[in-house]
Formats: sequence, structure tokens, C-alpha cells
Amino acid sequence: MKTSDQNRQRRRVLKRLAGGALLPLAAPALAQLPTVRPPLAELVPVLKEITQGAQVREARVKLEIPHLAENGHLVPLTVEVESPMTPADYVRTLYLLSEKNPRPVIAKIGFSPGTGRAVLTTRIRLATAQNVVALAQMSDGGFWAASTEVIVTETACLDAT
Amino acid sequence: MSLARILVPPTAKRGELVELRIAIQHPMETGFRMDNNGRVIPKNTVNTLICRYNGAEVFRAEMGSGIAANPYLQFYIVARESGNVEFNWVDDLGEKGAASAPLQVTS
Repeated sequence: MKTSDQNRQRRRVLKRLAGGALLPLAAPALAQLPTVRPPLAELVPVLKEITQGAQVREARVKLEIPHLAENGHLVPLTVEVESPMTPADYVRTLYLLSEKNPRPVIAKIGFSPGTGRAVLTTRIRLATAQNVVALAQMSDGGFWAASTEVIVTETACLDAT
Repeated sequence: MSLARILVPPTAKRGELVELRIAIQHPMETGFRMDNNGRVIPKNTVNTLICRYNGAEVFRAEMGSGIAANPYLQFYIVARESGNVEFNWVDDLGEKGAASAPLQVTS
């Protein structure tokens, strides 16, 4: 049985670990997690065709997709676009784009004020590890986007399988 | 006519957000696969799905080979009046599908 003195000592050590040792370890690990990365060279022509050169800002869109997908045949994803969804201001179109699939446009979703909330959950195919982009066009014509890198361990094969 | 399962709650309060789900039974053939004789299996995907609420279009999805087989979509509509929620879709071979369910709106 532990004495209260031993317990106090144990707590001190734990505190020091939590405050001092663990946090500096966790911070760089978090920073390395894939987040929004603008270049996306393969997608530039597709983006140009959709936006017609308009500015795309990286905010307001939330793309929830696993960073590590075990199977590229079926990757669940949820996209949410911040918008009041009123007749004056709503999300008109949401594009799901993939950087390295043979066809870059995964889906084109049309919302309306009647949708109430610009949220979509679906399941996509990914040919290989790549960036997935959600691009939303608002009723005022502005473009907002989010992108996430997904690592696919078993790809959605393109040949006979 | 292709099969689908839809989930529309039977009742909702006026102004409430209603979650809709649809899963269509469809192979979403990519056009990149080959059969056992080495012939390309032609692309066949559900290319358009439209959701209408009381006859008015509220949601539309244009899909392609990037959507997984048996496409599943989950989204919201705002309950305004009692009426039908209808789904209509068509694939690349022109095969059409439809499903609908009533939504009763209480105040």
C-alpha cells in the first residue's frame, strides 16, 4: 500500500510529464499533420475551368475525411460549408475534386435555400494517396475551399480486379 | 428501374432541419475495369440525382466514377409544408430510378 507521501510524489512526476515533457513532443507532431496545402498542381486546370480565374479563399468549408484510408474503394467523407442558407446568401454548388483520380471531378452538388444546411455526407473512391478538395461556390459567386491529404493503403484499382 | 433505400423521417416540426439519406444499388462502373476476356467494361454511373420537395428541386448531385459503388448521400432539407420528398436519378445507360416518401409537417 502506498503512503500519502508516495502518492504526492507520483502526482508531481505526472504533472511534470504532462506539463513539460509531453507537450513539446505533441506540438511538432500536430504541426506535421497534413492540412491545407495550396499548390495542388494537377488540379490547377480543373480549378481554372470552374472558377474562371476567380479568387478561391481557404475558409468556411470543412472537409472531414480520414487521413488514412485503408481502402480506396470506399472512403467516407463529410463536407460542411458555413452559410446562412437564405435566399439572399446560400451555397449554390459544391465541387468535390480529387488530385490524382483519372477523373478529377468526383461530384458536383447543387444546394438551394431549401436545403437549410450545406452539409453532405457520401462515400468516394480514391485511386491513390492524394489531396481531396471541396470547393464551394456561393450565391454571390465567391469561391471557398478546403483540402485534405488522404493516404490510401489499398487503392481503388483501375485494372481488372 | 434500379433499387434504392431512402430514409425520410415521417414527421417534422415546421422550420426544422430534416436529415435525408439515400443509398442506391448501383455498381458505379468506372470504365477502367476489364472483364475476364480483356474487354473494357463500359462506364456506367448514376450521373444525376435530383431531390424534390413538394415538386420543387432542393438538392441535386452530379456524380461520376469518383463516387463509390452503391452511392450513398446524406443531406438536409428544411421542413416547410407537408408533402412528398421525391428522389429521381438516371445512369449513363439511361436507366431511371425513383423513390419517394411523405413528410408530415406539424406546427
